[in-house]
Amino acid sequence: MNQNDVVQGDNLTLSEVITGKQAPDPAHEYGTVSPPPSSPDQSYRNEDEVPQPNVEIELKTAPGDWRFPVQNQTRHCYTRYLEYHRCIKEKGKDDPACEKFARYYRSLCPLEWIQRWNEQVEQGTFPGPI
Amino acid sequence: MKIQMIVREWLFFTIAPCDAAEPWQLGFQDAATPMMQGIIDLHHDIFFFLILILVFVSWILVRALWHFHYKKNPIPQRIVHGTTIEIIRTIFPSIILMFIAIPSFALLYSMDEVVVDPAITIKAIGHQWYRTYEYSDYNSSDEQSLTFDSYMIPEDDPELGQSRLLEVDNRVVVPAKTHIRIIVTSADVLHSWAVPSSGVKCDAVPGRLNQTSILVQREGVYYGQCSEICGTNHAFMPIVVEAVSRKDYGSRVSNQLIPQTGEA
Repeated sequence: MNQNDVVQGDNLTLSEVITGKQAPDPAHEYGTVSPPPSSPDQSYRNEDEVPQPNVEIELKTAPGDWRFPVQNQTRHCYTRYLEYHRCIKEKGKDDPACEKFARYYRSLCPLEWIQRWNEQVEQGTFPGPI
Repeated sequence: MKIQMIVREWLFFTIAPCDAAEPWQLGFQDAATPMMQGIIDLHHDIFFFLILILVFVSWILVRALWHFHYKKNPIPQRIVHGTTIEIIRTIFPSIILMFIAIPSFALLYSMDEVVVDPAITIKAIGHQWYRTYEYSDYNSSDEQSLTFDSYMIPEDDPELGQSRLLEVDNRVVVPAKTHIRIIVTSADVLHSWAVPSSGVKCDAVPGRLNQTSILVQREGVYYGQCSEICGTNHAFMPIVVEAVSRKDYGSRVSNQLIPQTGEA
């Protein structure tokens, strides 16, 4: 049996249908085909198709610091936080030079720590040298 | 038909989750980072010596048992020392150890190397028993931040194709082919952030920030689990890293940032 000869199912061949020996298979009824399983990737693809306001994200973060060339970065985060506060003490809150340090400590420190320190700074109980 | 089903099932269950553990897996998962490639290579290097030593020692052992059997050799020989053999069996193992130590230290120190300028920083904070991820490179204030929790999909909930006890509701999305700094810490007890195909296992210690660097070389979804006993649900706080292209990463992050800035 030729591969192209097969129409649907195993018992039905094209030649037999054409010569009238056999009735063709009935067409599939609606609703018998189950929908394909939704893959998790599908939702992302749909998201991408929706036109969105294009905000360019610059891949930029706190650079590596040679004062802290180790796995433990706790001091790195803390030092950047101190540097920021020393900077705004010296140059004023809105100085653009200090913004750099703010970005660094936000990149490195957990949000929880920043919030706790900020509270302490507000209350004047922050133990660090700022 | 049945054979087809079995083949399909086999393909599905063994190949679909490429970067997760497979049933009855013996070897490593496919490497996704140069570090993991290094680990696999080191393993193979060491195995060369290991097999050599195993064969040699077994050969000596069997030979000794055979030739010095008490029936064959009833009077033991009383050799107490031989300078040549002693020098050989001291020097030779040290040379072997050196051949193992050199690539081992090279890998160890290259893993420890701090990437000078990573492109992004992701903070992975362990909680009992879920993880919080913070993407704070794009923050303009201390309050606003791209932060989300990552919980395991409950055992009775996974959809077709999802791995049981491995899938999470919010995956960590990272750009592929980019240097990434991951800051690992914990808010309560010890946890560990471990993804085998990335070659990363970094303990999360409360009050300390551990840094680890990864460079994911191919896009994909990588699975890992908590690797430091952290309590009752230690087994139920997996890690899923989804590496996408840089472009997709940018749009993903900006999509998540827009609603937040809209609220603020």
